[in-house]
Amino acid sequence: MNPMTGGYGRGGNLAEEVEAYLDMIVRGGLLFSQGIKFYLEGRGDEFGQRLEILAKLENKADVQLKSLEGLLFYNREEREWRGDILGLIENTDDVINGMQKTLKEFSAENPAIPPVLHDGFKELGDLSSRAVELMVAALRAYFRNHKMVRRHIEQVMLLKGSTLKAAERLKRRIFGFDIELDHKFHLGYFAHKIEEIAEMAENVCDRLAIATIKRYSS
Amino acid sequence: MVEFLKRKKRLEDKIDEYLDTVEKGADIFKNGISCYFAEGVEKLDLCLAAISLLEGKADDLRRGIETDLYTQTLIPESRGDVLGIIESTDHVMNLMEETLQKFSVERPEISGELHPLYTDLGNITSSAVACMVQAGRSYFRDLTGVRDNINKVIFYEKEADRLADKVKRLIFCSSLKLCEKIHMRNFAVHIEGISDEAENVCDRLAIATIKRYL
Repeated sequence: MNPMTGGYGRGGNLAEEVEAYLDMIVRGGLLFSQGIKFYLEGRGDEFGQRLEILAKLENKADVQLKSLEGLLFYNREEREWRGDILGLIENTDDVINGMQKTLKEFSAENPAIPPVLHDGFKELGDLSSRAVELMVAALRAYFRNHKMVRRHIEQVMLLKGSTLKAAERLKRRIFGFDIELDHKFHLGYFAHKIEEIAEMAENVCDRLAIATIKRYSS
Repeated sequence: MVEFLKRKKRLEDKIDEYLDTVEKGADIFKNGISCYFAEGVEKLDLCLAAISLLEGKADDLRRGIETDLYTQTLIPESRGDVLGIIESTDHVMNLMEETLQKFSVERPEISGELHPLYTDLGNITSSAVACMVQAGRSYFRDLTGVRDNINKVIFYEKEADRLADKVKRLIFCSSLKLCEKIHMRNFAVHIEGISDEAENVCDRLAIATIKRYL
């Protein structure tokens, strides 16, 4: 295997573009968890800055996605799998969009999170961001070393399970708390939005599992 | 040839087991809703634990079926359809679990006069899911049975719509606080949403069945 092109055969350009796209997703995940952390700590400037960078990154990822679609269209070696690859990349785009939208909602709605719940929200943000990171590792493995895909997917599934449990714990605390019902809704909504990122990462992995079987098991 | 038939039979058994799991889930879902109103959240929690186990089992079975469909080149002509049906069925199972979990976490305070209506909504939705499972079984065993079961699902979905509409109107006519009304309304929407999803599975099934006849 050519170390420069991974498993992409002679499509070096496509390989670089995919790698660059996935780099953006990983950075997006890190910005997302940092953003949540700064929001909880009341560091508004830093939160706003992370949101701004994430929004720019999301725009850049959209441009990159269009470029990838074009490259895939003309790439003869990947022709058979381009539907799968396109589906994977587009689903991955939902993940970065979801992270950006969630931080934007934090900024717009400014939920009042009681300090006693900060740990729960931070844990959820970190778990979701980690799920995104592992999802990207699984996607890279699809192109570079398909034997590792399964292991990465299993890690995403495990992490998604932990995220769901953490979200459930947090929601139970929210709804058991002595605050107004509308305040509970608001907090529960944000817990759900963060948890959803890990679910999106799992959806990408479900597609990836099938794409891998189709491509490599025949 | 013998080996091929054996593999095909194993796949059919897995699909059957998957559908059994969803059917049991529908039953537990129905019990969970009625327990919440009749006996309180503790009883519902038992149903939640049971449905969570089934949901995990269904996920494992689904992934196994998907792998078999692609690795063993069984029913290659309709594997895309089968995959779509299995995945959308899984969504129904997830929604049933999520709804019971929301009851357990949020513990909505629902006015006493609405209890029987919510219980009915749970029963109707569960019937829609059970008929959806029957339609799915027919697709794999006897295509002639698909249509009747799909019609039953459509019937229950419409019933659920009507009942949910009635519940929402009663809620919003009351003198409760707006956030309490919204909370109660959301739970009617969650339950009703499951029958919508069951209908979506049947839409897929209808198309897949027509394709098999062509």
